[in-house]
Amino acid sequence: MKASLEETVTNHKASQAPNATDKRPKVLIVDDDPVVRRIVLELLNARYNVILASTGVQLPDLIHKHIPNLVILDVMLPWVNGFELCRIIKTEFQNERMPVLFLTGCKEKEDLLSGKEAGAAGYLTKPFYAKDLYREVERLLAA
Amino acid sequence: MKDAAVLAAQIAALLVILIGSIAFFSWRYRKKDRVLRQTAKALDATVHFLQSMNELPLGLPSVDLQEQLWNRMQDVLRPMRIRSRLWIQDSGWKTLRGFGLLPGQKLTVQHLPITACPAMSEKRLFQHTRHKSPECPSEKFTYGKHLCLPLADDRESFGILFLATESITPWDPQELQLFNVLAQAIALSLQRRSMFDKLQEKISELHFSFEVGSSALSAFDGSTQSLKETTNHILDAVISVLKADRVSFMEWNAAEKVLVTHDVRGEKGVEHPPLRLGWGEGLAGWALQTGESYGAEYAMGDPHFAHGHQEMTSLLCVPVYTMNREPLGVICAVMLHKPRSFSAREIQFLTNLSRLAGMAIENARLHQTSRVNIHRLHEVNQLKSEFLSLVSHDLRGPLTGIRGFAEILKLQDNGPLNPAQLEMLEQLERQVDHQERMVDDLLDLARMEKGRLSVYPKATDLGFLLKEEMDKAIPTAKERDITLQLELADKTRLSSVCVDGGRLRQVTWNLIHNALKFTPEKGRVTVRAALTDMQIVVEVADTGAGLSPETQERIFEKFFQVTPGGSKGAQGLGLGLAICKEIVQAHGGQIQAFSEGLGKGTCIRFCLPFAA
Repeated sequence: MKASLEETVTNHKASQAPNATDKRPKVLIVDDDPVVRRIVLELLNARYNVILASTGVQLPDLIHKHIPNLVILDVMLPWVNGFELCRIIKTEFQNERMPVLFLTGCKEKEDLLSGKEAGAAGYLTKPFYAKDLYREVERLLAA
Repeated sequence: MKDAAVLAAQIAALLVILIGSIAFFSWRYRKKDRVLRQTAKALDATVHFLQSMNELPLGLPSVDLQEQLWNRMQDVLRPMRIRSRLWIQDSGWKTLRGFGLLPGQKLTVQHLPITACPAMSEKRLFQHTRHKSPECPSEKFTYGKHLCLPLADDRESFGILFLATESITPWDPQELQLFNVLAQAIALSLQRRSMFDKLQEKISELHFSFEVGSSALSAFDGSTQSLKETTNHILDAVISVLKADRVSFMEWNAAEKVLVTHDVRGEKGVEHPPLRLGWGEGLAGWALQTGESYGAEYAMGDPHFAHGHQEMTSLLCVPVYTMNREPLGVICAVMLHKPRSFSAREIQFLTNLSRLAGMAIENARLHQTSRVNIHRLHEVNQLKSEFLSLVSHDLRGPLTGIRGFAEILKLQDNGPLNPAQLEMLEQLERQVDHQERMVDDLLDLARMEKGRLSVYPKATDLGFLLKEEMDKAIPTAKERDITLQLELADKTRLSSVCVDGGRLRQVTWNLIHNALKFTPEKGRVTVRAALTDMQIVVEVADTGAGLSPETQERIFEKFFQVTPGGSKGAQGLGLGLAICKEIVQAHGGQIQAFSEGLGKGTCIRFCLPFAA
């Protein structure tokens, strides 16, 4: 697994480094599992401008740089967990319209509630269906 | 002339007689009058006496009370020149204790044997007049006459009232009546006092029993914490009941064969190093050896006393044993200042408490050893929980990959797939579904064990839910050529019932897949749902392998498996139905299996309380 975040983004064949001319909605995904990043990328790449990150350590910088329209977060992340990240986004970027969608293996009712408390707009559990992901992403971007 | 002289003499004689009789009658009248006055005075004094008796406080020590009674009685008797004495039974000394003046003596207290006076032993009046009537068996003095009246009520004799005078003329009946009244009044007073004493005794007995009861209840306090805590509670209980100055527990060290002071409560007294006694040594060692309580009012003079540094007056030792009669130690109750003998009921109490103490101490020791184990078990349990949630999380990871890539392939962005490949992909996805459910079952098991499997009911369209779950099973059913059938009664009402939709999906899916698993080809699986007034009834019936009567009960047990007859279908974890049962029960409902026997199909029905 690649350590650096920018590396992950640029090294990926499909990501084609986001460029300024791309007018499609930007979706940022933070997940430490490269398989999940790859799957989300493959599924969303055709319609959205996908940005990938493996940890949330430099998330604020990354958000400042790209200003995504939607952030997809894992919960069990190294160093800073997804709920914490969500709270950071909701406080630091409260002026931006930036819905957060959790995509996680945590299925406990309490986790779902913590997600809601942290300010997330959606919650999907792994393993997920493509149709559910499409539906949630479309819903959150349209809202 | 002579006649005149005779007449004069006659008149004179008549006059003399007249004057004499007047004098005589007036003298008689005066005497009567004096007696009457005296009686009236005495009556007055008696009334006063009776009134003053009621004022005597009951709490007075009984000797003081008896003295006061005698004193007040004097006010009545002194004007009548009657000497009196009160002889009152003293149960402690088994004698009659006398109050009153003996001739030529000041107020003294003397004792007489209880049988001394017939008035006491026979409860009757006894009279003695010098030289005339029966000899008095006890009083050898110089009164003209004396009289003994019993002081008694129907049940007990309290003593006698002794009255004496110098004169030997018989007692006037009025006087006797007065004395009777006096005796009755005194008896009444003594009776009141005796009842008061009995009441006090009962109260103190009750108080004692209460203390005994509460100390028995508290004997086990702290026995889950530590040995020290346990003995502290027991010793404190002994102090509060026996009012001992100091209570200690000496522990028997079986390895070194010595009794060592383990714990001391109450007054510390002179500091001295912990006492060490051998088997049978000292009062404590002796009690432990004989297995019975042993005490002494003057402990330091007792032949068993082990002379060390300790000083005390009284000591009571009671041995403590385990349930198996192995010696644990001795409880010692110590008086440091005022000596006292411990009463039978106090010894009984301590003996009983020592039995409880034995159990409590044994309990405390067991707890101490098991606490370590409990702690270890707790750790293991914690590890198990962490492991389970980690496992289920990590098992789900690869599934995400498998399903994800299958879906990407289905998008056909990287080239078209032929129908056979697409079909295989769908198979793959179904396997993933199945795997995911097993992981979920594992997680649910962890929740069940923690008692945390909860449901969150809200308005749900049950008909729609059942239809969807059934549709998911269509591919599997098609493969095995099994007919699926859904029968919904009262669809409109079913469309809004209050249940946990997600959990009910889990139940329905489990039941349908179980049915499919155990139903041979060309069979039928029917899902029915209906509403009664009180309940939602859902059943999944199949035409499959059926259940023997023994297994009908057991299929809802965790890990219980029925080998599907002939079929080599995928075996699960044996958790599905156990989880279904837990979910149904969390809704407040019941689940049951019905089968007419092996090969005759199975119907599993669950009922949930109805809430619109």
